[in-house]
Amino acid sequence: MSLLKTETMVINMGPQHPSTHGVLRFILTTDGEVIHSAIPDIGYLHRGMEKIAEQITYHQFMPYTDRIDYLASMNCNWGYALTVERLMGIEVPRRAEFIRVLVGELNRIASHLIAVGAMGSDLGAFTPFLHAIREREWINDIMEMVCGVRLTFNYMRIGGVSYDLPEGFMQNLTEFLDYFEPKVKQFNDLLSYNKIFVERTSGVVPIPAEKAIGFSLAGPNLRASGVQWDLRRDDPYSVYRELEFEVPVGKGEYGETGDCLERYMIRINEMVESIGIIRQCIRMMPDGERIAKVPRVLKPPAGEIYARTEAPRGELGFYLISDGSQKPYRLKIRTGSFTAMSIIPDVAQGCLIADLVALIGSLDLIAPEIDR
Amino acid sequence: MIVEIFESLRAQFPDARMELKEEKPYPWIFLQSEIIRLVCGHLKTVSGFGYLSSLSGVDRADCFEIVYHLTSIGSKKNITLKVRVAKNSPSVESIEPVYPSAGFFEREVFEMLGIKFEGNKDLRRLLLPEDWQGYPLRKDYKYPAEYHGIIHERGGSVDRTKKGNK
Repeated sequence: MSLLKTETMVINMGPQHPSTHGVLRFILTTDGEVIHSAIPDIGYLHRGMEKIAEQITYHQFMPYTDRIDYLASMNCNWGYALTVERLMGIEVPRRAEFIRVLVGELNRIASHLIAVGAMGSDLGAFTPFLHAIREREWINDIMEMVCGVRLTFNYMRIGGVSYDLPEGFMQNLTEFLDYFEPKVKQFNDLLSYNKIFVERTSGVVPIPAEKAIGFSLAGPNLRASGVQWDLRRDDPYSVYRELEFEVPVGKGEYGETGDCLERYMIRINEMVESIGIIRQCIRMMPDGERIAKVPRVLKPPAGEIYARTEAPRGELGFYLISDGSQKPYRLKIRTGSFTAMSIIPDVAQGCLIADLVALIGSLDLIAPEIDR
Repeated sequence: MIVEIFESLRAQFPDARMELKEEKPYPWIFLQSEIIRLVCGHLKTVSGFGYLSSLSGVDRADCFEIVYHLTSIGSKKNITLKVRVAKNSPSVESIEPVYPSAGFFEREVFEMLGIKFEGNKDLRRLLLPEDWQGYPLRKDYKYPAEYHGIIHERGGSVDRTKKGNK
C-alpha cells in the first residue's frame, strides 16, 4: 500500500450556501478541515448603483438607497439625505430630525435582530432565528404604519421625511418597547449563554484592534475589537448630541477581545441602547414641520462632500460630487460590509471551515451592501 | 487643523509638489501622485490617521482623480487627500502596504476606471463578470448593446420625455 500523502483540496463554498447570507462565494483551499486560503468571489448582486446615480436626479436616487442594505433601509435613506442636505446647506426641521433618529434606531434593532438570529441559525440553532423574526415582525408593522412599506421604506426625503407620524403611532411603539425589553433577556437565555453556542464562538477568530483599524472594519465589528469609535458619538450628526446612550465596546469578558461571541454580544447590547434612545425620542419629540422647504428641482452648488453615518453595519459614507447640474457628477458609496469582507482572506487562514461560518455570521455581511 | 498637517507634510517632503485647497465646506490637500504612499505612511505613524475611511476614483475632464478619506480615531479628525493621474496609462502607487483595507478599494477603482495600482498584491476584477468589456465609471463609457443574449435596449420602451407618452 502506498503511503498516504497530505494533499490540499479546493472547496467551493457558495454562492448558494445556506450560511453565506445572500449570494457570496468563497474558494477555499483546505488541508482536511483547516483552511489554507479563502478567496472571496463577490459581485453576484452588483447593480451598478454608482453609475445609476449619475443618470438620475438627486430626488430620484432615494429609492435606490433602500436597496443598498435592505435590512437597514432607513439608515441608508438617512445617510444619502444627510449628504445632499449638507452639500446644499439645508436645515432639517427639528421634528424631522427626531423622527429620523426614532425610525433609524428602530431599524437598527430590526437589523441586529436578523444579524444575531441568522448567526444562531448558521451555527445550528434554528429556533432563536424564529424568535428574532417574530420580534422583527412587530417592527415591520410599525414601519408599515409610518410609511406603508415593510422592507424598502423610501421614507426619508432630502430635507425631512415624507409623512408625519400617524395617529396611534406612539402608543403602538411604546407597547412594542415594553414588550421587547424583557425579550432581550429571554433571547440571551435562549442563545447567548447556551453552552454549545458559546463553545462555537468564544475565542474563535479574534481580530485584534490594530488589524481591525487597518482593515477599516466599521460599526459593531470595530467596537468588538475594543476600539472606541461610534459616529453617533464621535462625529455627531442630527440630534445625537442631545441624546444619552452608551457605546458598548468589547472588553474580552466572553473570551478574547474581538472574537465571534464579542461581536455577537455587542449587537445584543446595542439593541438595548437603541431602546433607550427611542424612549428619549418619544419623550422629547417636538411639534413642527416634517420637511424643510426644498425646491422640486435640486441643483446643488458645484462642490463635493464626504458624509458618513453610523448604519447598523458601521460607517456608511457617501462621497458626492456635484457639478451644479441636476444630476450627481459622481457618487461613491462606502459600506461597512465591504471592508468587513476584505478582512476575511486575512483572518480565515488557519481556522476551521466551521469557524469560517461563525466568522461570516458574526461579521454580519450583507451581500447587496458589499456589491452595491 | 488641516493647515498644521499640511505644514508638517511640507516640512517632511520639501521637494514634492503639494497644495492646500481651502474649498468650502471641506478643504483638501492635493499631492503629487508619486509620494502618496510615503505621505500616507507619514500621516499614519506621525499624525495618527490610521483609519482609511474611503478611497474613490473620479473621472475628471482631463485626468483621473483618486480621493483618499482618512480618519484619525484618536483625535476624531478627518483629512482628504487627492492625487491626479493622466488619462493615457493611468497608474499610481498602491497604499495597501500602509492600509490593508485599500486592497479591496483599489480593486474596485481598478475595474471601474481602469487605474493601475502599483504594488497591490491582488489587482484583479472584483465585482464585474470576468468577460466584461470597458470601464463603466468612465464618462465616455458606452453601454454594451447586449451581454450574452441579454439586450440592453428593450424594444418598445417608453420615452417619457416625449409628448403623448405618459
